Amino acid sequence: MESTLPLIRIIDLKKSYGTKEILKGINLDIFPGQVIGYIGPNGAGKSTTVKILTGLIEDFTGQVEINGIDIQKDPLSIKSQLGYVPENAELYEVLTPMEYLDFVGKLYGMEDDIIQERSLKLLSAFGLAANAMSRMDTFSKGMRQKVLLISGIIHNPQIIILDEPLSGLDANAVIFVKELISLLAKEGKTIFYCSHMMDVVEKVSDRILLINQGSIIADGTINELKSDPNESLEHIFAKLTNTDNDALDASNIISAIQ
Amino acid sequence: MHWMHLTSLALFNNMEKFILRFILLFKGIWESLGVNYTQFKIILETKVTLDNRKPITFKKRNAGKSSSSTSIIQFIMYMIIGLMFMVILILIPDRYLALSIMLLCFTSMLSITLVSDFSPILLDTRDQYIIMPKPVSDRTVALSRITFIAIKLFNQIIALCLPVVVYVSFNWDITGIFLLILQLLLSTLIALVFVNGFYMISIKYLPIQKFKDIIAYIQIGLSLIIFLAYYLGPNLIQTIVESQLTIEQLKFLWIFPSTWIASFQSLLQGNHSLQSIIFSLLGLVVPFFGVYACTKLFSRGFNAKIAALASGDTPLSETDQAISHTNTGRPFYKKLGAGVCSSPLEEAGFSIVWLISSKTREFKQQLYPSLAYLPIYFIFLFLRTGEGLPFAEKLVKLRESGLYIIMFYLSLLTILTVFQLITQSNKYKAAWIYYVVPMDRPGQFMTGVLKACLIKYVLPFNILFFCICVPLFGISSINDLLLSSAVGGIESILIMLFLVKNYPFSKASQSSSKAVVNLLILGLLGLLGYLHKVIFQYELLVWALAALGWLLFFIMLKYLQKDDWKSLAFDDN
Repeated sequence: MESTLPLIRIIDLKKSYGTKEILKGINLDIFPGQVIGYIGPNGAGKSTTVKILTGLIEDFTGQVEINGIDIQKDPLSIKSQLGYVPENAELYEVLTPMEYLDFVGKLYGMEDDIIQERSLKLLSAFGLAANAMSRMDTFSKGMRQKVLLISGIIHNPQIIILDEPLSGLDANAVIFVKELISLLAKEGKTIFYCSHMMDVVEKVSDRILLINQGSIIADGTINELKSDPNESLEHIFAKLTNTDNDALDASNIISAIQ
Repeated sequence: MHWMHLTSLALFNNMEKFILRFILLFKGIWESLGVNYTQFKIILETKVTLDNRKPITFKKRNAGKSSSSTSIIQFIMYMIIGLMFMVILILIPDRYLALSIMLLCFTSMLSITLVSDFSPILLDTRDQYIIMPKPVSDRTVALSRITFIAIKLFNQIIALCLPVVVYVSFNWDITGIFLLILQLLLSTLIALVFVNGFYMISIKYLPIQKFKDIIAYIQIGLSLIIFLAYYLGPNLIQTIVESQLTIEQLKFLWIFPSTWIASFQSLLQGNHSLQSIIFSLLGLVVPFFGVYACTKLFSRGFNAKIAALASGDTPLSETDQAISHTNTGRPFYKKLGAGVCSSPLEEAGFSIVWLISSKTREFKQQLYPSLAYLPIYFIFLFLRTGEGLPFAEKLVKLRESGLYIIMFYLSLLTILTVFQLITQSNKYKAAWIYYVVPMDRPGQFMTGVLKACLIKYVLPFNILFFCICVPLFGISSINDLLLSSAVGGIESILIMLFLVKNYPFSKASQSSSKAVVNLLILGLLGLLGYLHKVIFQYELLVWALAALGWLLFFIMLKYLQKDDWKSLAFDDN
């Protein structure tokens, strides 16, 4: 796999807001068919990386290439190859799933017939066929999340970036989405999976990237990251990111409320 | 300490907090009612603070930065209405009649604002999630709720009555003044009973969604009534004063409780007729009977129902209509969109505006009042032109003066309103999608938006004018209509290019007030309308200008499609 050209190539990516440096030089090569688990504590620079990858933030230093195209030179052609669902994304709830997907599909420049066909198929595959024509303001959080996931893949993108995609989904739907991720990877899609749920990341990803304070501090398969076979990703995460002395200690809380 | 300091400062310009302080003085009474005073106090203080920071309903929602002086602004607004009540008392010399009309206005005003302003409080779901899980007794919750409504109510009543009471205290004798205060209190009771009845009936017979819609329409109605009163009120009062009408002649007033209550003053002034006595008795008995009936009916069952309403979890209905829908093929808006748009991107812009504008209550709530003014203007224009002339001569006068052209240009004002509303939404966060998709030609998208607005909100008016004007004023009005609609089209493109800086439904609120720009556009439209009226008899010239206008419109449309819309760029916040 390593012999093919990288699909995403990030070279010395830096980004600061004012004097605060959020990303301190990130270097990455991501290959087709990989499922990347992208983890890190709050404020580590995760969402900034994702926003740069999806073309939302355009002023940064360094280089980001997708499929050999520089994202700063041609963000639009990169956006059309990406499927992105932000964390806690909102949608126009007064619309029905069909209307919303029609809208999104057309923003991707798709033709009406194809959108219709795919939406119906995808909605029934996600178990939403009966609700295809009802307004989403009556939907549960899980149902909305499913519609969002559909809107992220309806244009058959090369790269799929998912930010906490499982929030609000019930246990069955979680299994279903995990399956979907591995199937998409088999189809050659590259998946960029951001989450705080370490157990899921551990299971779905074949490569884990840990970002802390603007730098990637760990990169490898779960087995490569483990120092002993019984260690879970949660432990690794805690070990690598809780370096400060003022690390959170739950026992302080107990003593505070006593 | 800091917080304490702030509240005491705010007290000076905040009536609600003042009333709250007063209410909280009676700690003993509240505790004897079975209320946990500490909880009661903090719940009310929090509610008053929240209320003071919420955006004003009359204005556009400014959720972005919360207001900190909502109460005082609202207070002033009600006081302005109160000034109008005062004017009624000043202008109509017959005290009985003046009071009847004033109290009628007061009661109806209060009822309508109660329904529109208090429904959100009654249907507030946050109590359910924030207060109910805490160890707060039902009684404390219920009483703090009722007390909060009472605080708001008193705030409003004080504002509405202040001008009248001040005027009266300088001009009437002391008994009259006290009687007036009693009358105002009784009228308030009537309004409360009325609103109660409204709630009970609507909740019994209407599903929650419909109920909320009705409240929205009542708000629209309210602004229309104020508008109508502004235009027609002075005329009415003038007629009443000039023809020296009395209650005896205005029999339709007899059915209103406000007239019964007003008759106290007539009794005081020595009019001991049977009518006055019966009315006074009614005025005294009916409010209390209403309250009694309501407390009997405003029982636990009703409260439970309100609570169920507020919980807001509408069960998901398996829609059979959904299936039948799939078979009927493409919906109307899509056929229309496909017909007038040239690319999927343009269709996307078309459909999002078309769908959301017809499905969002807040959008309709803000737009419809401004649309409803148009027929009123039209009637007003018609009534005022050639006053006193018979119908046929009126028509001739309208046709010859070309005054009807003014209507065309007035209707173009709606374009401005539509475009100002179109970028705003409560659900503005859903606009992330625009920045994720490869929007290569935003101009195309925005052209779709423009087309939807024009077809939905401008074309119907033009068709209506066509249907009215051609039979009334003849074929020659067609070219006038064509010219004005071309002006409208050009206006809308210019507004789109220079004033619309965001994707549809992507902003929480208008970032800055555009009053100056609005006035400019208004003035420009007025000027164009006037120029049109000057030349309207030169039919050929109008035809030529109309053709030119339409040509210009289509050229500009092409330009709009190619515009790169730098202003729509992603704002990283």
